[in-house]
Amino acid sequence: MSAKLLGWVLLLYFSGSLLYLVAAVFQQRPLNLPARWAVLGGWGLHTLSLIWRWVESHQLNIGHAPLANFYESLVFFSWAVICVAYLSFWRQMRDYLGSFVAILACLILAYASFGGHASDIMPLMPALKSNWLIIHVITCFLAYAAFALGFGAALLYFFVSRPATVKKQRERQAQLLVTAQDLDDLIYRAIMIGFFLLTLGILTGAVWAESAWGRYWSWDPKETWSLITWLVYAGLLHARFARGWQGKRIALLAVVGFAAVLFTYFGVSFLLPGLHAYLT
Amino acid sequence: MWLSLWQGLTSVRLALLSLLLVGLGSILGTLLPQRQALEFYQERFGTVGAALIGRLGLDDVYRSPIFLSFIALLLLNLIACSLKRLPEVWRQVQSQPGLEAYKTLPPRLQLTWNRPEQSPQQFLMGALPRLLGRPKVVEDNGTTWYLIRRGRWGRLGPYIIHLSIIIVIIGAIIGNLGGFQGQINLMPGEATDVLRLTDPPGDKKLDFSIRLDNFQVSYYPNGTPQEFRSDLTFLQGGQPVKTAILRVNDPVTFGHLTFYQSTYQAMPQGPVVLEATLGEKTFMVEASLRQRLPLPDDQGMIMVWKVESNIMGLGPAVQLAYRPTGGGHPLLFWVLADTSRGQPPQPGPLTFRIKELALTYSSGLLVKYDPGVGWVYLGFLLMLPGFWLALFVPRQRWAIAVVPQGKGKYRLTIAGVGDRHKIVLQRRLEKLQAAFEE
Repeated sequence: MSAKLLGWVLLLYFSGSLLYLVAAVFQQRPLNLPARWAVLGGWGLHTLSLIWRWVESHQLNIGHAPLANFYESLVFFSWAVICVAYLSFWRQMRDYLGSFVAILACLILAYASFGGHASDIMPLMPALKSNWLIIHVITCFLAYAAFALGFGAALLYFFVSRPATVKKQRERQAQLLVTAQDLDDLIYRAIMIGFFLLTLGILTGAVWAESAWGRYWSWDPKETWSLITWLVYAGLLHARFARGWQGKRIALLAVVGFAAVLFTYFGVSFLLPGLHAYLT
Repeated sequence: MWLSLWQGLTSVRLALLSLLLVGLGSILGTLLPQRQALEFYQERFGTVGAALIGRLGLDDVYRSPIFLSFIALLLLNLIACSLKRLPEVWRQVQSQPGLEAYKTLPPRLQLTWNRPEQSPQQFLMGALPRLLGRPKVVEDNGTTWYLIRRGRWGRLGPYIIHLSIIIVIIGAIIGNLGGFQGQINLMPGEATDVLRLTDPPGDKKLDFSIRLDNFQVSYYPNGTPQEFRSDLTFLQGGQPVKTAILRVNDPVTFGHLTFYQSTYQAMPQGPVVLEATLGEKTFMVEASLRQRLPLPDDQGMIMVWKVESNIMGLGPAVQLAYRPTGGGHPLLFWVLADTSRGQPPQPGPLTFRIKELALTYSSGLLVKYDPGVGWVYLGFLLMLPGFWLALFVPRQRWAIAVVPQGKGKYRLTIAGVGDRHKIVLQRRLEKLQAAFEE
């Protein structure tokens, strides 16, 4: 039943993204409002479906938060993207950026629904039966979502600041209703939020691993790659705060960081064996 | 020479470099299969490649001297940076900048105060604590200055994070040098005082013994394990001193050791009795685990390879290895105890049925002593306020100058700076403006 709701969520995110895009391309600013309603309406249903799935699992007597396999993690990731974007960047969620966020959430959800992943509610294996599961997974995926946002802003930054005459650039920025400076600011603010959450995710994971496996750190591929991701963003923040990097170089690092996020999430799950293998 | 070494050690460039090196080492450790036999590397990378991998320690990257030296470099850089910059930052946090420092702030907003019913002083003293913070009021040549400093503790954030990372790494070192880890496997009723160490391998005698009183596994309807638990008794001098229930995710501590429920293994209790059929002929076979058993009439050999209490929700089963006469590869297949839902196909001329199968379990416990884990957790705890201060406490300084223009009119100039958080500054300013326009 919760999966049926997700069909509507998908539709709402998609139409929201489309409306944002039309608002941006054709300079129809008022369209941002219905776009926002579509996305937020979709997010409301999305939240409902998460709760519903949780209830369903309890009806099956295997009650656990819907965060236990790859399918469930994708559905939650999609939810987290909207959540972080609108909570932290309410004002910036319009036009191209609004469209990017909505289409990203839509694509993740579509991949979850049509990617052929097992979507049945499965019972939890003993190692996962812990209250740390919820806080660990939530912090990690909110972090991924914030990094995805930083990535989107970085892409838009490259688009806005691509080589042109000063006059043309100014025209372009006026048309896009966003300046390179705003995007630069947004990139690093999204990354700060993501960095904080990723740190929380790694720490909660370590504490959990200590109680489940007797080792707070075991160089498992997932752990290691989350550390690598953390190092990339730590490098980015140092480059910015201590060496004053801005603009293109920071945007580039934001792209590299998000590539590390993607590898941590997908690459490790599919390519490298390890303790987190139950995700697949 | 020492000065340039010091400058190198404290540089941001070295920080970025050591982050990069630790990152690259970590990547290598995930891509290159770790802790494999020499033959494995020779097969993939040739003799020279394998020798190089062995020499550089790349078969166990995270313990190799090279990788550890990268971490040492990072640690050194963290300590050096903190020593170099902390005194200056501490001085800045503690300092009380005078009016002159505020006068140079860039002006952001200018307003004319034209509200006879209220003086700007009254308004600002009422509104500022809510909007920006409690102001310090300074009179200077007829101009009243309202000075506000926000988030000054934020500057300490990065140093608290660095300190916490140093503490975590030190905790890890303490744990690695002073700790140990091992395994204990027990059958129900069995007791032991010997711990099998994993790295380096060896036996360790404990000053107490541990007894497994009972072991239970429960299964979900689909056959996957739901929970397993060991009921343990700790004995000292033969006397029980503590009983505990050990579950996954719920370790038990005794003395300075921590016990984790790690694995379990089903075991046959007594011999497995099998009925073998060959054509018209039926005969009984009694087999113990991993014991070769020649079949009569020169029909080859069988061995009970493994037993499971619940395989894929189909109940207890025995995995047999059958080797036909004249050698060849042994064939592995499962025989179910409960045949009501059919039996998987069995290779070879014989068919087997289980007549008697009584199961018990051995419980695998992970045991560890880690004197560093407290330091690691202390580092974790310290990291949280550090991050909060560094990332979410924006540093701002504001100065509002009120200049009387006569006839109850005033000119207000609002000046302010914030480091890093341009948008945060902008929002504050917007809020201020809205408050003034009310």
